[in-house]
Amino acid sequence: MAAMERAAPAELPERKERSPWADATYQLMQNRLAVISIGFIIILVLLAVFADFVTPFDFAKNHLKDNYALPSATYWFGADNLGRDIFTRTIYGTRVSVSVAVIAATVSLGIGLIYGIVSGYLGGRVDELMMRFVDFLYGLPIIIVVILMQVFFKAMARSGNAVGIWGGLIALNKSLGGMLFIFIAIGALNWIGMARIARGQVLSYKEKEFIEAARSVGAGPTRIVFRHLLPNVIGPCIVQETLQIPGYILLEAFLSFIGLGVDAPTPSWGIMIQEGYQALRSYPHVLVAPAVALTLTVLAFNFLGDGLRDAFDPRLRGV
Amino acid sequence: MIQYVIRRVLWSIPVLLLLTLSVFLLMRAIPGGPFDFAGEKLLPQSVRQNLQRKYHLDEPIEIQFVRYLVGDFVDTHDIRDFGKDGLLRGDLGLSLRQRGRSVNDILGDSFPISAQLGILSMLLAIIIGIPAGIFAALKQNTWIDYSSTFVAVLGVSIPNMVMGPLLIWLFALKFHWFPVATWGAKPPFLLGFLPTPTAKFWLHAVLPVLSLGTALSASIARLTRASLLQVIREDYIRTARAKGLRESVVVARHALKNSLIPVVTVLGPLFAAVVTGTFIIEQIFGIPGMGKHFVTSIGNRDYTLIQGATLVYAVLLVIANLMVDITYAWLDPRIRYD
Repeated sequence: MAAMERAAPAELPERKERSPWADATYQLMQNRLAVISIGFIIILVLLAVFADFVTPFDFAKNHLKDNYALPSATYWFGADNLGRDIFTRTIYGTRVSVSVAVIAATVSLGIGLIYGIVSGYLGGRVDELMMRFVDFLYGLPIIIVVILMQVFFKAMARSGNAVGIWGGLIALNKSLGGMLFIFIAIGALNWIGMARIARGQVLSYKEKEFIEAARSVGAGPTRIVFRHLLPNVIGPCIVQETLQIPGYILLEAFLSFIGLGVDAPTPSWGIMIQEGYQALRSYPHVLVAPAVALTLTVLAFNFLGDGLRDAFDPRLRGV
Repeated sequence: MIQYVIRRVLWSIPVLLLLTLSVFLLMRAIPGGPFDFAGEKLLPQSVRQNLQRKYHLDEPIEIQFVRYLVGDFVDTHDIRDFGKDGLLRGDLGLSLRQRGRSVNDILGDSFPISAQLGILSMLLAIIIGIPAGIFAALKQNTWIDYSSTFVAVLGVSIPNMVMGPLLIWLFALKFHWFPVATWGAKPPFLLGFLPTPTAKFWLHAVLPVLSLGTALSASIARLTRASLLQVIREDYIRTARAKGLRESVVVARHALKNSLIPVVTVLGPLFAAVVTGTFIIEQIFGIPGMGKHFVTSIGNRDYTLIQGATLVYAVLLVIANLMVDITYAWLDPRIRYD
């Protein structure tokens, strides 16, 4: 064994020393599928932001005499049951999916990290109590709770007599085309997995020597958490969060498909797929654009998540 | 082991009660009630009040919950009535929206259909997924591994709402090989849940089982591959190889069992979820399964139906997780439950 170790450096190509982050970035950039996915996601974000400038039509404008128009120079991907341009609606659909991906992931990561770090760092009774609560939430069927919340929000918004903070939320939700409540419903339970991972990470680092060293030179809890724990804990959490993003996108599409998603006429791929499915027998082209867009987006986030996981976990790398 | 199982079952009772109470309260927190509309028409106040009285919805909420649990015992205080018409004797009550039908009836008709679809899909997923995952792991970093991993990622990325219509369009509308929709078996079922295995049943089952099963098999394949790759690097595998065992024996007898532990962990909850119905697949293929009740009964404020459906799901989840734990002990003899 010792002989092998001595012999090894001669055969290895020269390798610069890199920080773990730089190393992970390097590994990620070697992964062709992940790089393509990053490119695709950047394009998606740009389309979502600049949708107004890319699209030839207003996403809500009906052209009733052109209903179910086939793809043509005017309607690139055809028109739907109300004669609305499918290309335009697909591009605007990226807004919903990208916002859900970004915001649900940020909320889940934020709450999960804080909860997990507090629980793991404080330990003892508090930890016990906080984790029992997470266990209870774990027992709830997520889909049912999300549907319950969406039905609740929609009923509140419809009743229209809400005042104070409710009134503000409902108004904000309306101006976002119904997206705010989707963020809340999806974010409400999806942080619990993250909290467990963050706590586990904190527990594994808390007793390490470098933390003790920091404490012995008089570092306070804030400094220990932010300077020493967080940088170590956050890597695996970001990887895990990226792996969850496809789930958020699919959950939003599911809600929209069953009519509990964004408010009409805001376009969401889930609603468009539902409409396309309704017209499948006679006008299958209506389904194509949103179905391809949803699949490619989920695919890209899956490849990115896998790439990140492999980059951060050297054990899974090809030897 | 038996003691462990009994303890787990006893523990699940308060958990299930807490879950039932949560759904019970959450449903009643949503504005609106089950009797607001008849079709599209708003019901008059007096009719609504009568209906609420009939279904005891005018009582204080804690009495309502106790009545849901113990039934008529609330009124009669006769110990022989304890639990009669109540959850404690397995009576899930009357549906508030499907007049004259009990929740037990509704779920008794729809759950077997979802279970048939779900079990067939799970079988397909396991038969394809586990061997594919093993194969990819054994050929790690070859083109076989890359292409099967790629296909698996593609499989988990195609949503059911895309896969279903795609299969219908291709195999039902273009080629006319399979029927477009509906399920090929109706209640009453043999033993309450078995379909008559006619040609009609199988023809109708192919497309929905394929759309559900392929997605599941892709995620099982990914999981199996990752897990086997981790196990194969363990010291005891090196020992087995050092003993001079053939690679096939090393994998089959030493690596495989342990690598299945994470797979089984996921299969349990997945089974409970799939068997109680997938709304999208049932909707797309027009299958009268249980999945739709989870969605429509919340929108309809059919309190008893959503409570019953959630409870069936939760009970199955408890059973599935118990099976998972028992399987652990079989897969890994180091795991003991005392």
